[in-house]
Amino acid sequence: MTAVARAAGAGAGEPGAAVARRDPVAWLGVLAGPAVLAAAVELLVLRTFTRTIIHIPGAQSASRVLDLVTDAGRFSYYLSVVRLILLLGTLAAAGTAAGGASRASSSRRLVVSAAVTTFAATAAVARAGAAGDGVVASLVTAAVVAVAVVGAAQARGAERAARLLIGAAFAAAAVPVVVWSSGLGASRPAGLSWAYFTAEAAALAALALLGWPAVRRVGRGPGGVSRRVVAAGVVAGLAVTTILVASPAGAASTKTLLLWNLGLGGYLAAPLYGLAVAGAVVGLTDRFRSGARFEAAGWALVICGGIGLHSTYQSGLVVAGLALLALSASSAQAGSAARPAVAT
Amino acid sequence: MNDDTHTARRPGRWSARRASIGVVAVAAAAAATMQVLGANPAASQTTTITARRAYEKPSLDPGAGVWKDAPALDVQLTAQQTSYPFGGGTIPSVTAKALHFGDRLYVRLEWNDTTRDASIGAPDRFADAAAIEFPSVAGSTVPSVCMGQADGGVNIWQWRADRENPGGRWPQSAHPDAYVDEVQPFGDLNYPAKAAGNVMATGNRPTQDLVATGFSTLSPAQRQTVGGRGEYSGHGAGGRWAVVFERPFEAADPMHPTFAAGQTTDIAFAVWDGARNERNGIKSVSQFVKLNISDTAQKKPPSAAWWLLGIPAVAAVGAFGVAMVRPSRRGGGPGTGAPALETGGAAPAAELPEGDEG
Repeated sequence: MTAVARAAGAGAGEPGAAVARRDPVAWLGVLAGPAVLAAAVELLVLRTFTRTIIHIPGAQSASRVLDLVTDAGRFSYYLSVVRLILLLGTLAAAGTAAGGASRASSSRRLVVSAAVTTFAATAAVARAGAAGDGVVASLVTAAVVAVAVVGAAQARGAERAARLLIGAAFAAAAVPVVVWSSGLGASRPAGLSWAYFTAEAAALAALALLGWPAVRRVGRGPGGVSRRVVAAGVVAGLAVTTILVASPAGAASTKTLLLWNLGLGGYLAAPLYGLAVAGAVVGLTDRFRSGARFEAAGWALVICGGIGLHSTYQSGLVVAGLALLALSASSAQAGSAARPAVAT
Repeated sequence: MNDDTHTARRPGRWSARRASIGVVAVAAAAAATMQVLGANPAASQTTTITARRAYEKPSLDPGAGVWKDAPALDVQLTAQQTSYPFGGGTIPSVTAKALHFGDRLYVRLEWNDTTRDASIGAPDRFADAAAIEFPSVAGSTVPSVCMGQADGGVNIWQWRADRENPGGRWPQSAHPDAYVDEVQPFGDLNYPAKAAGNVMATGNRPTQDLVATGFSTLSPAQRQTVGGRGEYSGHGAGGRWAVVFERPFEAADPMHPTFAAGQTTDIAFAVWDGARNERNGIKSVSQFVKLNISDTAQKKPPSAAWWLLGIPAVAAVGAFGVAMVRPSRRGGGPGTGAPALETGGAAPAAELPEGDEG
């Protein structure tokens, strides 16, 4: 059992567990949960609430409350950024940590470490304004694709497909930015809409696949998945589908928020979004309840980050999430009851 | 004492609770410091349109050659949600380019549209259109992309296809067989909007220069200084609009942004597809992206004249080279009157005067 396995399996971050001060892998157990929590709060408060509330007629009368909420949203953003930086640093170090793994696994972890380091360096250079948009976009996309592919190599079945698809979605959404910011498309006609549609379809498919292993294990005794988990996913999926179908105003609002927050343009049929939400709810809940918390945290960070290139913060969430997935082996294949996170 | 607690007390180990509290405290302190200082370590990856100084005046022709090498950006669009009527989102993206020349800003938009809708001659006919939006104060805090807000106005330039097609406003454009038996010849008396100075009814500009500070505040700017022209090409799935907007850098209205080379501001886009009944708030909109009005000049592509000069020049150099090589193949070199090509041009030591060998 490797250090990553010990970190997750021993429940690092829980009362009573111990963390070796110089063991970066052990620190992942401490940092991953708070990073997810901070990113989720930032997504809800800053990216969703404060972007929505200013458009509600009459809301300006409660300006003092709005100011407080906005400040809280900004704080949640900075908190999430700090935790993300800590998590990225730890992930980069964890990728190089010795752990009795096979040569192939060590190579994969080194790739993850290199990708995370490349991303962090690129983000720093981008912040300093020392690199062109095309260079930054290309390197960030390459880092995301690298950790997604390594993560997929560690997984099997639906989990592998989901990891590949989310990497493909991010890359497809980034294609127009990479092309245009690199000047490659200067003399070409507008013809990159396919990239947005591809990204959207791949992202929805990835989320839908998240829930598939759990759905196959519903009611199968020990290690099976509770029907309540699936019911929660179905309710969430139906709610999203209803919002998108039944109310034109709600549909447009939802689509705008989808684009602003997650990079999804809302081009496809409403039930597909419902299916994706249902899959995400079932998949995340199942992973969390069955002890695969690194996987749950990884996917939650990816969802909070969204697809496409928006800011180095959002891209960082995706890189961190996929790196967590890559460093935690998957046993998400169908029929698996206990799913320890191991990196071997 | 359980094993975990025992483990936690080993040298070099912390309890997970202690570690978690430490991380939370450090992160909160760092976040609060960043918020107070406004030090954001993340960088926007919002894409940037770079407007270089054009090598010649772009004019309003969307097909002008100067646009070919201008940096472009494909901007993603989605449905408008903020104010009734909601909807749109049928155009997934628009390609934007920008240039400046003689202290005027030029912005070119291009998007796919399967139909050219330039007629509004019937109540159910709507025209294709496009608009761009700037914060009224360039480089200021970005206002709401949806018509701005009370403390952050916006300036909107809108182009409509029907305003370039005068006949498209008459009922006959929608009903070619309609018969008009009388047209009142009483000038503006029959055109109250025109008589009232409504910019929609006056002049023949295909563009409108609008300002807003929130929903329901959209109104014409005091001075209309925006020019524009659209051109539709292709047909069916290959159909596309290209529209050029232009305006002087200098602001003519208190709500107009002033532009300058070296400045970065924000810009957003909207597109309407008339064939899908899009009008008013039913449109495809983008977020704000950056517009960098660069000091650098656009590189002028080599002209055909250079090619005309270049081809004979290359041919001449080639012929000269051949002429130089051929004698050496016949045994040229020292003593034949030809250069010593085989030695790389350096004279062999045997040819040097004895006194020079040192």
